[in-house]
Amino acid sequence: MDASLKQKALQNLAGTAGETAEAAVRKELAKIVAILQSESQYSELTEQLELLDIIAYRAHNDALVAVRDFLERVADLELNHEEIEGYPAEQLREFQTKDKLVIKALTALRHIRYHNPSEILEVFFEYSAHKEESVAKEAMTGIKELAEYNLDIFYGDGKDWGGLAWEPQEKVLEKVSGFDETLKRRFFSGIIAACDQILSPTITGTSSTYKTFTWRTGAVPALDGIKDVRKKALDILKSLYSVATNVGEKKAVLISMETATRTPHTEDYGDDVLTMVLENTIDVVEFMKSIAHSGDLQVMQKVEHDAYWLLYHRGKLDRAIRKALLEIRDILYADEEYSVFRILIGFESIFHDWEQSKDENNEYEREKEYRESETLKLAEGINAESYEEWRERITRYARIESNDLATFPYFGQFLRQFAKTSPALAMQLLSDASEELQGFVTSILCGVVETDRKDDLYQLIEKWCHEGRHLVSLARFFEFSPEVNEEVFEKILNRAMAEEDTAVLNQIVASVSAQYGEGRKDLVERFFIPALQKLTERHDSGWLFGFWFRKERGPILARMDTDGHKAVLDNLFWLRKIDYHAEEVLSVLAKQSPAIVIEFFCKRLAREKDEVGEDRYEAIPFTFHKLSKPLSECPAEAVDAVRAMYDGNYGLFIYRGARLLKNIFPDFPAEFQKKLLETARTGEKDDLLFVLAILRNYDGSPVIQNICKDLVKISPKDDSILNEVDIILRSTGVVSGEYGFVNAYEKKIEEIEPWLSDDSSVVREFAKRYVSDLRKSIEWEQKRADEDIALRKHLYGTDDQTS
Amino acid sequence: MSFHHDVARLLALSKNGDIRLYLSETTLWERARQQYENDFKQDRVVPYPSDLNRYVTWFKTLFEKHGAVVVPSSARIISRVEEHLNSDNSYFNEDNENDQRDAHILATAELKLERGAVVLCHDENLAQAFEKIAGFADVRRDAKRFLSEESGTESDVPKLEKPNLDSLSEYAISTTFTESFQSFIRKADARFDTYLKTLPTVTDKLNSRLEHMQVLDVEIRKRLLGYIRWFSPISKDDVFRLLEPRRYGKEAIENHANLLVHENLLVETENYWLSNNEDPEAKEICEQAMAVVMPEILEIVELD
Repeated sequence: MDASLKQKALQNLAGTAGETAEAAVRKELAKIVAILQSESQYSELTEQLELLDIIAYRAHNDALVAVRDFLERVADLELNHEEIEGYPAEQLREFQTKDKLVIKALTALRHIRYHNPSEILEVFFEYSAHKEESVAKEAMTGIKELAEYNLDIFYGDGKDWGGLAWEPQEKVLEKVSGFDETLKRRFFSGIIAACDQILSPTITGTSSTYKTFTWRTGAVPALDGIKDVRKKALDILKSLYSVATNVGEKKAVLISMETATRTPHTEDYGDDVLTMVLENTIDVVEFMKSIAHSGDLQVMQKVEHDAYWLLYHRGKLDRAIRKALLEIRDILYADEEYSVFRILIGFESIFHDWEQSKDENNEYEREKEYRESETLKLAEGINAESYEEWRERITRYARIESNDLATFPYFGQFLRQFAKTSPALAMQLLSDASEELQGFVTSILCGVVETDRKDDLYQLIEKWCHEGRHLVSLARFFEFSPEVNEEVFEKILNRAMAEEDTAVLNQIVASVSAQYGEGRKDLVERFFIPALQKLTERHDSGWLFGFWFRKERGPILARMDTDGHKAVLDNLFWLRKIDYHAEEVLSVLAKQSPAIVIEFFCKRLAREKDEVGEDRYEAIPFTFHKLSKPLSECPAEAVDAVRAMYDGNYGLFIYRGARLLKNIFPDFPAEFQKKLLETARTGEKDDLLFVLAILRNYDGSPVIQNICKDLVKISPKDDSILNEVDIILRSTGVVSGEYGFVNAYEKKIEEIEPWLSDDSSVVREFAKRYVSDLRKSIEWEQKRADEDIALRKHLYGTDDQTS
Repeated sequence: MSFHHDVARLLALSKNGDIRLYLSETTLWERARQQYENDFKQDRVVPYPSDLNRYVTWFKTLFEKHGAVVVPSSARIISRVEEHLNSDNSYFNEDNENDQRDAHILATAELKLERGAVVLCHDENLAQAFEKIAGFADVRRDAKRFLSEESGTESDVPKLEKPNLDSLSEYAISTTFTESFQSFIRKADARFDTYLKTLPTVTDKLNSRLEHMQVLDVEIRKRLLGYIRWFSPISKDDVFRLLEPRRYGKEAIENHANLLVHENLLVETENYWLSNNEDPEAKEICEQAMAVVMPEILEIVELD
């Protein structure tokens, strides 16, 4: 029988009381288990897992066993795939994976999580460490759902079932407490996720009807059981900190602990809740104090940040908390190494008096000023005697991993200033530790180049260039250097060209753009364009992202001749998607010569036709942000250029060439309309189809009514053309509301009304038929919308039923 | 349990959709009781010697599996039985339990079947009552002849699809007979209380809605309400498809569904019939129908 009908019947069966229903569910489960243990076809296994998900709650013990056995089996299972016409087996194998089956199995467990929490948690934790991200995510969701406070589970249904209170949280903690050190390490993320939920001050629940979704939220009650689970969660986090092996993990623990210091989002909570949170806060602060002198600088910075903000938010509420937080401050600031670190690295340290309210307006400027002056002092204080100590410190700081742009700005300034103040020591540092410094080499080069050791520096650069070392840093050096040594720069370019090193070539384009100005304009021809051409050969358009935002982009592109523009467009031809970055560049070119940009898009469209593969090539964007205005300056040329590429494939052309013209002329200006009408009046079928394809993109807007009327007059007997006009006028684009189409069609009838009394009998006849068809559509849409509402009411209930 | 050749052939014809077979609750009761007594008397191993319920349900399930309908007794039928017994006709003696049960068979057919229906009855007294009192035009005394007219001579006993005595649902056992029939049979057969427990019923509201209808109408409506609730939301096309083996015809299904919509028990949209969940009474009636057709649903989803 039809699978969806069976699912519906099973859903009802599982919800029906009595022995018969239970026996039937067990019988179905036995069938499912047999298939899950013997079948190897993906679609069959998927179907069975879906059925299992539906009935699992009625026979949860057996369902759990079934899922466990299946998970064990699927690990070594060789999957088969049903033959589906049009889908090659390889593609199916890629899409129908074992991981997807595992996720389905885990989803079934999520839905019975409160029935066998301990056993199910075991599965969730196991899979939370899975190598496939989507599987791990599903397992993590299961852990979070079990650990979270849910209003309906906590308090019950208000009738016969009294709820579970904090029992689920206790079960989670019980499970985690049983993990030894190895398991704690293995399930680190899962434990953090669970503790986050248990320490949350908020309890939530949801309900819905056919037209509403209600999110209910409140404070977690300060009951003894809740206090106990929060305390236990904090203890687990402390023990987890001790097994953390890197800064990231240690910070994750601290962030999780911080949850215990938060009050509920809602203001509607009692003093007992506040007292509970403050008790936990003391616990957290004491722990922070214990690690404040750990020597782990990044962790200390996190502690500094958190301690300050806790003082800010909770300091006035509790004396003990305030005292402990100020003690943390004193411990941190007494550490000399940390005092250096907080100046040079990161963005979380506090640079004003903790006990004074801060000046919000000037805080950022004041901090910047202070850190810059301290940075300068530190850089200038380095001498031969302290060099070794500083070399060790600098290389240590340089090893810090960061994916933001706010961690190292002061460190970069420091290195540049150090190199400027002590060029000999800086040269020595480059010689001793250039490999360890990697990304920071540029700052040191920029400092030395401003000193009398400039020549030594260029010698070193040439040597590195010859050896092929630090090429990106060297090219980047010319982005920030006060001067451009063209001879050296050329050597870098030549080396990059020879090795086709696209990273260096992209950096060279960025460096030229940064240096562009009076006296350096020829850098464009000598460096920019050759680098660009080489990048084009490699189909690489990465330079765009280091170029589009620069104010010099206008003058640089203006300086280029036609060949230069060609080089830019030839390169952007390989860009897989035209977005705002590319539009910033293309709009400058379009202002000078709209025709070449239109030609560029035509070439892209021609390429898109032949493109295959995963990484989709989008010849034109869905809409233009900046290009419409400059490209719409010459409607006739634009229409002719696009008309020339119409190959008779009407269906595809609607979304390609025709779409391009819609993007250029979104408001359908009169000149554009005139040109289209001229084209249509040739009476040639291809010309008519070309125009119709363009009109298809205007979502039936009233602005195209006049030209549509003309098309009806031109082709009075060609039904295929008249049908297309009908479709064009009937289009609505996006509509909103249940009766969106009904309203849109009614409006269309109003809009077409004048056609009914037009002088042309052909137009009158068309309009009559069009209105009649629209009325039928309205009737059909009305029924469809009514049905949709009735189905949703039936499935999700109404307000009355919910109450 | 074995069946008489003629009965087996009748059931096979019914299963095949060639005839539609209706039985009164009395017929069901007597068939099951005879079998029970027979098994017990011959000292065979009777799995459930202490009560007859399971036997009765087994027969009912078997009949229904073969498309036969056990006509439920309404209060009107029972009251018609009283009328027959109290009238001065010579067919039924009110003090005779056999006559009482025959009167029930007649009343059931009289109130629930069309007069053109074929009546098979080998008891001459009852056959005459069918003709003379109720006005049935086509009463046959000889089942064999009827069968040969319908399907020619057949030597092999058709194989019947027999349910498993052990896997009958407790719910089905407890609701085999209508409440009206239970009170009737207590008087009309003294053995009833010896053999059967008092059976609860949870289909009161549904039955009261369907009480005055022809048996075929009752059957269609119960199934419509039950199936639509079980497979909710189910499209009209799927309803037709699921009820196809019952041979009601699309038009009859549509007519009944429209009437149920009119009665506020169902909600109709362009492509769906939905049970009316917004009206508490409608919801309850649909759930009772759901319970009534449950064995059929289990069969459809292959869990019977």
